[in-house]
Amino acid sequence: MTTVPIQPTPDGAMPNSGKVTSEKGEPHMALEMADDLTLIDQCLAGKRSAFAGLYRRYGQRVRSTLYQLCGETGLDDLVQEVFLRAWRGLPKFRRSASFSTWLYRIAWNVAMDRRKKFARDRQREQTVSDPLDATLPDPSQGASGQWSALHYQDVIRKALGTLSDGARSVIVLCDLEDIPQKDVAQILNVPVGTVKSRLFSARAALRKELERQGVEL
Amino acid sequence: MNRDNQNPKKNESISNRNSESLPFGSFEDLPDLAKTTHQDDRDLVTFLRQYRPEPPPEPANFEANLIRVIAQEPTPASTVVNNPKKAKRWPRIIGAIAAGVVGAGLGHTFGALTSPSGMGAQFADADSDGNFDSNSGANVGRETELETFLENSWDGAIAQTTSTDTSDSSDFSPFYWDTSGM
Repeated sequence: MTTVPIQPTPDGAMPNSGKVTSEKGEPHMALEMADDLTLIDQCLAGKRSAFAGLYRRYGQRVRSTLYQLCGETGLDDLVQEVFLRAWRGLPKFRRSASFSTWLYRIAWNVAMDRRKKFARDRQREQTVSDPLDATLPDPSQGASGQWSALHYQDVIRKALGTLSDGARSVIVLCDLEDIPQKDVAQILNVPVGTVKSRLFSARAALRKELERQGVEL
Repeated sequence: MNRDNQNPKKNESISNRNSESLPFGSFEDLPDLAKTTHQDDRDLVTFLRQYRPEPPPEPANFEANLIRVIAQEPTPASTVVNNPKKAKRWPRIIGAIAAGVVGAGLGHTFGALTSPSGMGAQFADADSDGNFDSNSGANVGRETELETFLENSWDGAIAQTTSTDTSDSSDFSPFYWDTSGM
């Protein structure tokens, strides 16, 4: 399965992923065609259907990012938390950065909060495994015949689970979500050089882990 | 339109000439150092994107629930702060004033304790039982000097007032009217 990265438009907006309906449930072409800043202005004016347009535009990517960072447990709650924070924080949105970068930063903050909570719970219980590992089947079970795509997905999930939060973040944002490094630097609030160095070491660690699991790149 | 573009033979000859002069054939065959250097990274990224773990599909009513939750939230514009810098300025000003008042109070107290004529000096005159001896040391001289000054000032003031009582009343009393010229 090949994922085609979605390229942002020059104004920073992302292509639509679905139809946007108005508050009456009718297709709303104006919302569908509107750029992010227009939708944000409409949200600030109290038009909640405009926020539905933003959700439809970015919801799937935010969901995917949160899934790569935190796993499946409580994923719906995390997505909702991200968009709730975005709604509440819209007045603080500085338009110097693109909305997608700002939204990714919220998603990353929510993900890190969840990771910290997991870490605290793990220290308390001492028996909880990684939230991603909990969904993994035994790799040896899938290796009896051909290596299936599903098994490779599991291998990647398990390898991601071995990385630190910082390394995992840059791998997910740069390599899996295909976000430009300068945007990742804004999301993580670090210099671009730091993103590059983290990415270098994270890729090395991930490659090593994948090779340990029998993947030849 | 550019005449050179209409002449494919000429363009071909230019391309061939460039290809002959370059050691690697043509411009399209230029070695991409970044690609060759990061071949391992490219393979890794390709693998990651090819077998990228996909999240489970969202529940059917997820968007509706989200919008319902947001409908219970206040409108963002109602929480807009027109000028965040101004909003942050008032707590800082109040804090600075409070800190100044506290600092001034502490400074005054500290100064009174450490000043030679202050409480520190008085406590310094206290004996081993903690009793303050008002007749001891430099205090006796200062009190005597103060009493003398007050007595002299008071006597001088009374004497001056008595001798100039009439003239002063004509100048300053609101109830005095000079009727001599009427």
